[in-house]
Amino acid sequence: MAFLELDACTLSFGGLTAVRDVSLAVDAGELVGVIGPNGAGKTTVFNLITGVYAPDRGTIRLDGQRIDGLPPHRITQRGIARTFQGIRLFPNMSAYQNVVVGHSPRAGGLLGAVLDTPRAGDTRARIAAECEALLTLLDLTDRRDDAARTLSYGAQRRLEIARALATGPKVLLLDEPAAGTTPHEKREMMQRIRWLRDHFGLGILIIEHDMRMIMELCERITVLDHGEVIACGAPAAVRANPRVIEAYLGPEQS
Amino acid sequence: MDQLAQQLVNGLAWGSIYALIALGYTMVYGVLRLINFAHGDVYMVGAMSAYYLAHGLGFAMAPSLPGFIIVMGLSMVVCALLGALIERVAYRPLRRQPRWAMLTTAIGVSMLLEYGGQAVFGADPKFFPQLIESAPALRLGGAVVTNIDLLIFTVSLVLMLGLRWFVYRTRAGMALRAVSVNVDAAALMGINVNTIIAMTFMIGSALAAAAGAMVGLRNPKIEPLMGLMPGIKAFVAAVLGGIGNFPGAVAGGLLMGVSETLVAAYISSTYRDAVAFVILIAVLLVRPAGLFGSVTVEKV
Amino acid sequence: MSGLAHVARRNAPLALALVGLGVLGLALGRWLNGYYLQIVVLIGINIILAASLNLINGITGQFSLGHAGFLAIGAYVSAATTLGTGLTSAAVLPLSLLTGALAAALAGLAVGIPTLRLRGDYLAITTLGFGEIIRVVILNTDAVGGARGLGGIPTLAGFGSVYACAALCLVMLWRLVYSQRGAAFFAIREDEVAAAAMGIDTTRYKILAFVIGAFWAGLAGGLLAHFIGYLHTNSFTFLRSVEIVVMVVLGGLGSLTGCALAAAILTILPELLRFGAEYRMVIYALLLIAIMLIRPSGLMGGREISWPSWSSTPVR
Repeated sequence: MAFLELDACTLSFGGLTAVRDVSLAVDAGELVGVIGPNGAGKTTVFNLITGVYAPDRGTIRLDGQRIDGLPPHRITQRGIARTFQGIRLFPNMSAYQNVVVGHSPRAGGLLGAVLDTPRAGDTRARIAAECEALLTLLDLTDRRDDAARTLSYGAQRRLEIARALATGPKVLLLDEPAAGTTPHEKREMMQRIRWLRDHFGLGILIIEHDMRMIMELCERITVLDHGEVIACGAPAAVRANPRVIEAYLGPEQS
Repeated sequence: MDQLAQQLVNGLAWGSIYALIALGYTMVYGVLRLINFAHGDVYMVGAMSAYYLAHGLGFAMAPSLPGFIIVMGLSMVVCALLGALIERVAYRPLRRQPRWAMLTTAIGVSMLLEYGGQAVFGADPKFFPQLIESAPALRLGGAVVTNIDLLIFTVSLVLMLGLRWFVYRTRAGMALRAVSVNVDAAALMGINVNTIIAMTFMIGSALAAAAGAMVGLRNPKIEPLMGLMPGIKAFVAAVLGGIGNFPGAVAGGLLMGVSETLVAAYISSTYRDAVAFVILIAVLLVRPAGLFGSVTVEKV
Repeated sequence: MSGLAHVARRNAPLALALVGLGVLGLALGRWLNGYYLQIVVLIGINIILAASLNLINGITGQFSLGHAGFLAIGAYVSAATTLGTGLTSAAVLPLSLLTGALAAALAGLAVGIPTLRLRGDYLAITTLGFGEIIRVVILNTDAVGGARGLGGIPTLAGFGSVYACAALCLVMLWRLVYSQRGAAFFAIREDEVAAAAMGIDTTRYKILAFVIGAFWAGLAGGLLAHFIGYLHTNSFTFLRSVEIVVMVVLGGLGSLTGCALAAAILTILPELLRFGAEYRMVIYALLLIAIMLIRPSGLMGGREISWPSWSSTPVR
């Protein structure tokens, strides 16, 4: 039983079936990739896992407990965090504040803050330290007080990851973390992702279009096409899979 | 039974007025996603300008149907220009700002028209000249339909059909629909979005002016704050029908007129104005898209 | 040091300030002309109103246009409480203020819950509707005077009580939203979907913003009732809501110091414009439009005047 498990999930919007019978598993410390042509349903799978949608059929389990049907904030509190395909930072809040928001559900209570109790002070100091640490980890310390919308594209992607980590997840969902970044930034991102896996023991699920990155980084890859899983396995196997090739390049012309 | 039929006629007359104003709200919301708070006050300016035109052009002294039509037509022109001016000066600069910015400005423009109207026209009510003397024209099932009511129905119908023709049978109308769906895509297709939006305001304001002139005829007491409640009611009507939806605005307007007339007649006249708010809250809680609107889903 | 002693020590400066305000109030009452004193007190009440609306509109991003409704409920309920007890000593004031504020908070709950799903314009119009409904209901309630208004309220509130409440309000809101957990309020304004994805129960926070905002507005209403001594629903129309919105917008949505400053400016302004009586509102309307066209981010641009924090560290 893997830590995060999707079992035969199906989701339709009106007449359109976005994902059909999709099964997926991620264990602690695993790096799993999700690839497929555009419109294959990759982000929809993320949205299912994080509770934006509830599957019409099938189940989603985290550590053995069902999470399908729970609202997004509950699922995050259970230990799943994500980044977004189109970056969704809090644009007018500083980088530091964005990361603090990630911590906020586990921060001291509002009443304690208003009354300024000693316990509130301790928690505040501890969380502040954790936020600073995350910013340092993702090379954002020099942009700490800058509004998120003023950050460079690469910095914004890193900030999204820092913010997601602030929620203290056990599973991290990265939706195209390297999209639009330079090759140098991509290599750094790969190292960073490996480091996060090693250091925090996270299970990491990645959607990416950069094939080399996925093949090098992931231990297992799931391939989606038109909402269905067409292949799942080690990178070498997936790369050679004729259905996968066909999905990306089209059918063979004779 | 007679009373019911009569109330229905009254309700439909007011409903037609609300429908005309509601069309303006719905058109502007469609292209700008803005609730034009000032729209109800444009209706007031329509009534006021018709009043001054009637006196100024001498029609007040020589009542006639063609006279009224001319006065109404000219007030429609005046308000069309006013609408274009408001859009150009107060709304266009804020198009890239967050939504509350335009909403707040709209409130400011509304206040400006109301209090400016009080300063310019005087706060006391005026009496709209009787350009057409009210006389029974039809008897329908125990109800008396006056010639003025008949005029309201006819003019409203003509204007609505005209609008429908414009929106669905002309290129400008198609451009309007395009802008309502996706502003940026429309611009990329070569549509001059600024012109279309200005045009939308002009048409909506003209319709409101027609409504104002006809109300002047039917209920002659007009004053600078007369646009407040009808404005809100027409907005609710637009929401009821599905904001952005033209037939919806008409249906909503008629429903609003009939409901509040019936409530005033059979329950209590003090609750007449409250009907609008009750309908509004009911719609927004139960089916925010309105009767004919479509539900939009945000892509995550 | 025990927890309680710690809390007491941390809040000592605040308590000292409140005592100081009380003393100042007594002094001012003696030296200041009644007219000027009234303006100063009204500034204090408007500060509470602007700050409480700021929590809902500026900080949490829920565009509410019905704040006058909460003000009205607080005013009438507290007045009714005082009149109901028949007492005229200042001792009854805290009780009346509290009942008024709690009644308003309940109204905040009643408005906040159904409007959760609504966004932007729809939320604005619905809150406007609620505000009007509240006003019409009060207008038709003869027990509190109805159309004739409610008079004879003992004038128990003055500079001291108003500014003590204003200080409490500002400090409480400041500590609330600039705490680490309070960052959630801002996050909801910025991107509600992302906020939920970060584990924030957006529903709870939005309702909380309405309830707390309504509470303080209700408190301000109680102070108003016990300062003027007379109430009429004409003071609680949509226009009143708009006036408060203008204060928040002028100060800069989200800035507590900004809206306090704007409240002061906009309370004094109509008095300065007394000369052009009928043009007063026209100028007001032009001012509103001008602010939006020239500097929509307001005086403070959404930021606070930074002062050395003696209570909690703002989230920076």
